[in-house]
Amino acid sequence: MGDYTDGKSAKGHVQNINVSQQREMDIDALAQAVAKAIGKVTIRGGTVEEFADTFDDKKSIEALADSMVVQRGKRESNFEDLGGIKKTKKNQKEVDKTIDILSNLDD
Amino acid sequence: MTEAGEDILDVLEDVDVVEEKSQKKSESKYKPGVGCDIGTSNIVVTRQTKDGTFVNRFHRDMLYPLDVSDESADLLERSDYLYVKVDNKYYIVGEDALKLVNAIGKGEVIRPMKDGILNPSLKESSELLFYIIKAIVGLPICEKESLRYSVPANPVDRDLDNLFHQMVLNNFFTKMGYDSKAVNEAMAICYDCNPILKSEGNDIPLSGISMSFGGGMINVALSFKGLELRSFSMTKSGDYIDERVSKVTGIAESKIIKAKERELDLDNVDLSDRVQSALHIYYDEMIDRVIHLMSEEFVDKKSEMDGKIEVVVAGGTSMPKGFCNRFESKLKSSQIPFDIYRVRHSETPFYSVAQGAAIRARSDYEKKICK
Repeated sequence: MGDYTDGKSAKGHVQNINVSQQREMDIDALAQAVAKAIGKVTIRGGTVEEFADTFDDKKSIEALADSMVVQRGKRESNFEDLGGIKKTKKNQKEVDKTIDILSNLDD
Repeated sequence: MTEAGEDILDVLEDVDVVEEKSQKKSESKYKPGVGCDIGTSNIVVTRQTKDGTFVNRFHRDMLYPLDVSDESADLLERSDYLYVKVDNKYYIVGEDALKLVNAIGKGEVIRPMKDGILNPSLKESSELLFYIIKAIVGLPICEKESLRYSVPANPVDRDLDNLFHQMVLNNFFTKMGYDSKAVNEAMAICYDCNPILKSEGNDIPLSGISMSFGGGMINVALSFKGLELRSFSMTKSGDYIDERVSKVTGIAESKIIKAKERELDLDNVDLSDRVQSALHIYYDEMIDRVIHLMSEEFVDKKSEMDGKIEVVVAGGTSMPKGFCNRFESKLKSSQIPFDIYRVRHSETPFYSVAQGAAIRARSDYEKKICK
């Protein structure tokens, strides 16, 4: 995807990320996602953005995960809901017993 | 034609519409609690109706790209193929993707998932995957409806971490308005199939080994009274078999999938048919490898159970006739450190993960309303 030359991610320093355009992907969107995820960056080969250097593992991964579910661009489809339907029956007493046991367990 | 290019957030911020639709769904027939099996090959979403029926909605997790042209527009107008149009491409979705690639006889389908998690090398198809999941799951039927989505355990035979995959799915369902949590894929099968531990004359429920043979992975969990004691996964499941058989026979994977799902009978293999013959060889190799790795894992971790345990098996790759008999006879003569009572195939192997996840989601909901 690209090669990382990490400037040790210290405050006040700049991280450089080279994003190669060899593969078919939305480089700009990727650059934005990485920029948001890891904080202060300079991106060559895509847009250049600088953010406050607030590198934090959990928050950064969350931000990157968040960027994955946003729908970019316009889509048209010829369906509103999808999928075949299969109905099944189970012994309801058994199911209720299982639900009882599970309700007493932690997550 | 449905126009739906909006950001998920924009759609979901239209709270009035969500509430109105939620109300309608709730009034109709379902109990709160949704189970989602986001698998490498298929997506299955399950809800339970008030009369106890499980309603499983399923969709093949595949896409087939077609360039926008007069010919492709004409083809889509004359057929009932389901598609999403993005810029200058049509993406035929689900079962139709497989039908079309078989009819055209060239190209391959795109798989948005790989080895049980989001395929990291396909950005566009990941976005399409979320668009598709949304169309299958639908809106919550009440505020913060409980939802459980299945995730694989980390594999013992490859360096792969499912944490990011889990986070992405959690963000997605939370944004849709659900109170979402992950559930281990094999544990979902435990909740659906209820394996039994026979100990000192008692049948202890939700105790034993649960196994899911999916498209990308094989998941295993050891449980006691519904509590997960140990879980792990292994790669090289159904998709690997398709790929290997395609390589050795020179026949396209899409055709191998069709043959595997419609014709394979492991009790009665037609050795004159090279596809059946190769499928049989690779199925045997997978069963041997899985039993070896799981025995090693349980021995390493010094896992013990006092009594005879039941093994429950589900998942699309376990569906060929004769699979369970073959698995049981090999397991009983293996080094696995448990006394095996029997191997039981799920009555609904294709839907077990989603049904188990729905049962878990129902228990989450019960817990919430009892607080």
